[in-house]
Amino acid sequence: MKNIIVQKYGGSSVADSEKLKKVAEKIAKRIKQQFKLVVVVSAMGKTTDNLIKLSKEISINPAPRELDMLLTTGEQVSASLLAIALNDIGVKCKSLNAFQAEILTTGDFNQARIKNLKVKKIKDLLKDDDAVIITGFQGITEEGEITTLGRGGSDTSAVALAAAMSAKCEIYSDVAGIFTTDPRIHPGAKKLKYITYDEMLEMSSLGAKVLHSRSVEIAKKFGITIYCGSTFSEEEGSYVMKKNIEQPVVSGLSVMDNQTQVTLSNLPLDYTLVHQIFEKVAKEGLNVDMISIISNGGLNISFTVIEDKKAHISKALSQILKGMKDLNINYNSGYSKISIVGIGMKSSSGVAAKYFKALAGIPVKLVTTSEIKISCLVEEKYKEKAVKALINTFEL
Amino acid sequence: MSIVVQKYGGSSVADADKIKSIAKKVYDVKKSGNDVVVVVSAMGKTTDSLIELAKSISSNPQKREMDMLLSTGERITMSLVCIALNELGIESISLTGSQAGIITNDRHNDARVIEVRPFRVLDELANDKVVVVGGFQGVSYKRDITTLGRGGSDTSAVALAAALNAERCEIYSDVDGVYSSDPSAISEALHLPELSYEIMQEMSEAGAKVLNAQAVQFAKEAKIAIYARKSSGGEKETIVRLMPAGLSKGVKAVVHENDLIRLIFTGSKNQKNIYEFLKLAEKAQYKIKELNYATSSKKEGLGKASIIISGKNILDSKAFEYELSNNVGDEVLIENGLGAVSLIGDGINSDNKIIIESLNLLVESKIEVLGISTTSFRITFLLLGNSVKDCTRVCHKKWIEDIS
Repeated sequence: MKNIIVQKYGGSSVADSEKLKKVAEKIAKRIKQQFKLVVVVSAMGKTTDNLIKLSKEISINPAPRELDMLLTTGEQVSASLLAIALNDIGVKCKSLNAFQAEILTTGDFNQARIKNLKVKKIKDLLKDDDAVIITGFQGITEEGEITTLGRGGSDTSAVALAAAMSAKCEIYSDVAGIFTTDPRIHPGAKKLKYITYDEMLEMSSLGAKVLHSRSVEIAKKFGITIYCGSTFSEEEGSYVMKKNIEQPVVSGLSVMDNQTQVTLSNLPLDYTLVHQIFEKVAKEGLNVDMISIISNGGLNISFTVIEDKKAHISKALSQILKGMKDLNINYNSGYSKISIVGIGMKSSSGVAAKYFKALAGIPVKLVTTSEIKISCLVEEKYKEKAVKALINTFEL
Repeated sequence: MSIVVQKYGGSSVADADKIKSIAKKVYDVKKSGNDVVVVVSAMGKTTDSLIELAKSISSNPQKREMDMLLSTGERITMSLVCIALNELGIESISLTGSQAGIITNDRHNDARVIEVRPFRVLDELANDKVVVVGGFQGVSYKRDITTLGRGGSDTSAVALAAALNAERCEIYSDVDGVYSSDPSAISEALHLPELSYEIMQEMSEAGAKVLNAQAVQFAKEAKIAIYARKSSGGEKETIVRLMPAGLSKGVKAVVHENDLIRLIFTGSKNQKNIYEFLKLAEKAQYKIKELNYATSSKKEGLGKASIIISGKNILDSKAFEYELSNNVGDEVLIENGLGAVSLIGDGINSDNKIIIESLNLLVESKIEVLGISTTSFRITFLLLGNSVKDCTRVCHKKWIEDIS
C-alpha cells in the first residue's frame, strides 16, 4: 500500500461549505503525490458550542451520556460533508464514525480515553479508496456507547490513528504552527520550527491551546512526529518531535488566566492531613496546581485552582477541615499564571536567575518549577508587564 | 406492563420549548404505568437545511454520505429529549437506530427495515427507563448508516412497536389524523376517524404524507393499531386498525402526488431496454412506482412499455438523463414533472361505475389524462403536474363532498 498520512482539520478549517471545498482540494493535492489519506475532522465552526447552548436551554446539568450523543453529531456532519466534497472532485472516499472505525474508549463520558484502535476497516477501505474521513473527538465503548474525548479531542483521535497505522500525522488549523507565545495576544511571537514532546506537554497543560495534551502524550509514547500547520496557507509549520534540533534554552511562554490561590494557614504539623486534603480534592475531580507547603511549627499549604472551581473547592475543604480551630483559609482570585518552558533548561544554569531578574519589581505570589519549566503566579494587572519582560529576556 | 410506542414528528420537536412539552407528555404516559418507547424525527427544518448544505458542496452527493449526514438530525433530537426527561426526574436513554437494533437493507436514502433486534431496548425498559430512539435511521449489515426515506420515522416507530409487541403505536404530528384529501390543499377534506390497514397503505403509496406506507405494512403484519394524533392535543384522532372488509364501500379518499417521471420505451427492443433500466434503477436506487409492459403475441412490434418513477430521489436530473442514455440508449422518452391523483376505497373497482363517471368528469373539466392504473382499492390517473390540483378538487367534490 502507498504511504499513509493522517491529517486532522480543526473546526475553523471546515466552518462552511467553501472552506470544506478548499480542504478537499488540499487533500486531493496530497493524494496526487501518491499518498493515501486518513482525515480526521472536528465539528464545523461553532457547532459544538451551539449544541451545548441548546442542551443548556433544556437542562443546566445535562446527563453526560446524552451530551456525548448530542455533541458527536457535529463531527458526523463535517465528515460526511467532506466526503461529499471529495467525491465531487473525483477523490474516492467514505466517512466513518467512531462506531464504524471502531475507536474503542473507556466509558467516561465527556472525557473518555482511547483504549484500542482497530484500524482494519480503515485499511480495508484504503485498498480501493484514496481517503477515509474519520469523525474526530469521539469513540465507542465495548458496549456500543458513544463517548467523547474532551475538548480538543480530535487531535488525540488523529495522533492515535497515526500511531495505530504507523503513519505521519499532520494537524491543520487556522494557526500556522506553534509559537513562542500566543500570537493573537502578542503579535511579535515567533514561530518554532521544532518543539519537543515534553515542551509541548508543558505548553498544552499551561494553557497554550495548539494541541490537546493527551495527543502529545500519545505521540511521545509511540514516537509519532506531529506536524502543525495552517490549513489555508503554504507557510511552513512546526514539528513536535522527540529531539529539538535547535536546542534553545527557553522555547515558549504561556499564560493561564482566571487563577485562584487557596491558602490554608495554621494547620497542625500533621502530614497525613496533607494527604487527606489532596485525596479529597482528587476525589472531587478538581485539578490543583502550583502547590507549596511550608512548615514553620505548623503547616501552611497553598495551591491554585481555576476560578470557577472556587465554590466547589471551598465546599470540599470545609467538609474535611471542619471543626479545626485557628485555621485560616484564604481565597485570592484574579491571578494569572505565567510559565516559560524549554528543554534546554535541563542543561543550562542561570535560567532562574534571569527569570527573577526579568520579574524584578513585580510581586510574585507563588513559584513552581520543573526540569523544563518555571511558573509564577501574579496579579492579573501585572500580567502584561511580566510577559513583556520575559519575552524580552528570553528572546521569544 | 404494556408497552406504548410514541412517535413525534419534526414540527413537534422544533425547539427547546416544544421538546420540554413533549417530555411532559411522555412523563404522563410513563407515570400512568406504561413502558414507553419514544421515536423522534429531526427538529423542524433540520433535515432540509442539511440537504441544502450538502447541495452547496455537490450537485450529486453520494447517498451513503447523505445518510451519514441526515441521520445526525434525529440524534440531536433524541439526546435533547432525554436531557429534558432527566430534568423531569424520569430516567431515560437515547439510542440510535443502530443501537436500537433496526437492521435495514443497504438501499441508502430509501432503505427498508428487514429486521428489528430490540434486545437493548428491552433491557433498558427492564431497567425502568424511557427509551428514546432516533427515527428514520437504521444500520445495514455492512455497518453503514441508512435512512428510511420520507416519513421513515413512522416506520421506525411501528417496526419497533411490532418487535416489542407493543399495545399501541401513537404517531404525533401537526395534523390530527388522516383526512379524505390533503387538508392544506382541499379545505373541504373530511376527517377520517378510522381506517383499515389496506386503505391507509394505498393512501400512503399514492402520496398521502400522514403515514408512511411501510409503517402501515408493519402494523398490519403485527396487528398493531396506529393512533395518528396532533401533538398539541385536540379531540380528533385517526385509528388505523384491522377492520372487517366491505363495511364502507365507495371512495374514501382522493390522494395526489407530484414530481413523477414517466419513461416511455419507444423502440422495438422494449424487453431488453426495460431490463437494462431496471438494472440501472437497482444500482442507482431509483424508486419505481409502476411498470407497464405489454406486447402482442399476434403482431410483432405492437406493444408498449412504460415506467413511472418518483423524481424525489433523483437529486441531479442531468446525471439521470446521462445515465439513462448510457444504459438504455435513445429509444426512451422522458416526461418530467407529472403528477397523479388516486381515488381510494374498498371495492372501488367492483363495478365500473366509479371509473366511467370519473373519466367523464375529467373530460368535462378539460383535464387531460395521460395514464390510468387500477388495483382493487385504487384508481390512479396520471396527469400533467399543473392539473393535479384541479383533478383532486373535482374528484373530491364528486365522490366525497357530494355523497356524504
